Amino acid sequence: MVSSVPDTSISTTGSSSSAAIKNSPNYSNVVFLKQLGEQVFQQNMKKINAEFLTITYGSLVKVLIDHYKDDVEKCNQKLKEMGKNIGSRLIDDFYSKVTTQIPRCNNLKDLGNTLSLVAFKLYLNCVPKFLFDEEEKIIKLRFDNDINIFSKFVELPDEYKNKRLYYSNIIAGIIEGALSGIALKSDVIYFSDTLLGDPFSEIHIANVKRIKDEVPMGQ
Amino acid sequence: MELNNEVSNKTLLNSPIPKNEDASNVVPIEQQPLTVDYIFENLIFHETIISVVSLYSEETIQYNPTNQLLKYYKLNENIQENIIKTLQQMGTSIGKKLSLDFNNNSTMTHLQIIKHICKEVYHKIFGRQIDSLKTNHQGIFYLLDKQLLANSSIDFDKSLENYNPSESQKQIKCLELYPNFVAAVLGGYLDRSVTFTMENRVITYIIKY
Repeated sequence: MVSSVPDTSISTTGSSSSAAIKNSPNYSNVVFLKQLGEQVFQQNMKKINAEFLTITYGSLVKVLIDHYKDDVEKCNQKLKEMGKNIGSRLIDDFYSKVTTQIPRCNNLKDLGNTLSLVAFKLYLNCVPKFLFDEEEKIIKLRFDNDINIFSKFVELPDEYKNKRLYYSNIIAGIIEGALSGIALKSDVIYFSDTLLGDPFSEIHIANVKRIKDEVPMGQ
Repeated sequence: MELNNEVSNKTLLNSPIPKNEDASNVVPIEQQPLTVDYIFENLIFHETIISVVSLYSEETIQYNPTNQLLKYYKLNENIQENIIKTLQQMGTSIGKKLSLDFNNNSTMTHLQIIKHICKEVYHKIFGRQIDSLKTNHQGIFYLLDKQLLANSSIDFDKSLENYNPSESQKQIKCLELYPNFVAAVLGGYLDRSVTFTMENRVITYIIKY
């Protein structure tokens, strides 16, 4: 599919994205983003084997559980805070690598497509499926078949399954921190996880709002 | 008996075909090694150390710098020891898990094992080889790393109000957390204790046989 599309699509999508029709999905944009993600991933020369990352993350979660004495909610919170710290720095790196080629996001669908096709491909080498809830305006990112690198070879004991420990909750924090770096306020929730016995693992991004530059009172 | 033989023959004939399909399905998965971006991996590495520090300094301190690592040097000595202990425990367990792939042959000399660490194990952690390797040919190896702490962000806090030039030497103490962690990883990989020294932000790991 991707190879059949000629390279000239780059020039066409730049103009078409500005005049996007609201209701119909912009297929050329999706194909272009898929191409862009793979291109950026291959150009990126600094890549590392993921083994060390998964092992350090696992031992970190173990340390957190030991320290908080099985209080799972604090654990989830702490992981999300860590993610925010990482995401607010990661967004700068993302723009330095991608921004000259990327089209502007006009609506929430474009935002979800760029997140799943470019950002996840670049940093985690996996592409979650993107679903959009039109009524409540929620962006859903669904991970199929253990694509998620963090929880690839992980099994949780039954204690933490009942208490709902979201093992890879750091991803939700990273997305929230990264969106706050480009003046978008959002609530990111780790909705369900296959490690806990749910049929699929999903991340929900809701209440996306633009933060406006406001002049303080009295000036 | 004959029927059974026929049935078994049929199953044998049928069985290789799905096996081949399975094999063809497995191969592309193996061809893609799990790779992650270098900067993303490095950010998580720094964030783990900072979060371990913040676990022990939640209630005790009002000092809140932009770089959370600086909290470390204002803590009590007992808490500092606890932080280093947890980091070392994490490091040794990580090193042991990394070493599961490594077949320690008896034919390998000490020098070959150390070269394997410099080239491949260090590449797994930081995406580059170690800077230089020195020996005295009597069983002591010095591994030098000049890049890890060269651009550390501790100096950026000099613009803060809390900054005193007299404390800058104490603040360098915070940087000891990184080599403590990495030395524990290498020690867990080799099953022996690895020590280190730090001078002018150049780390030397010392391995004795």
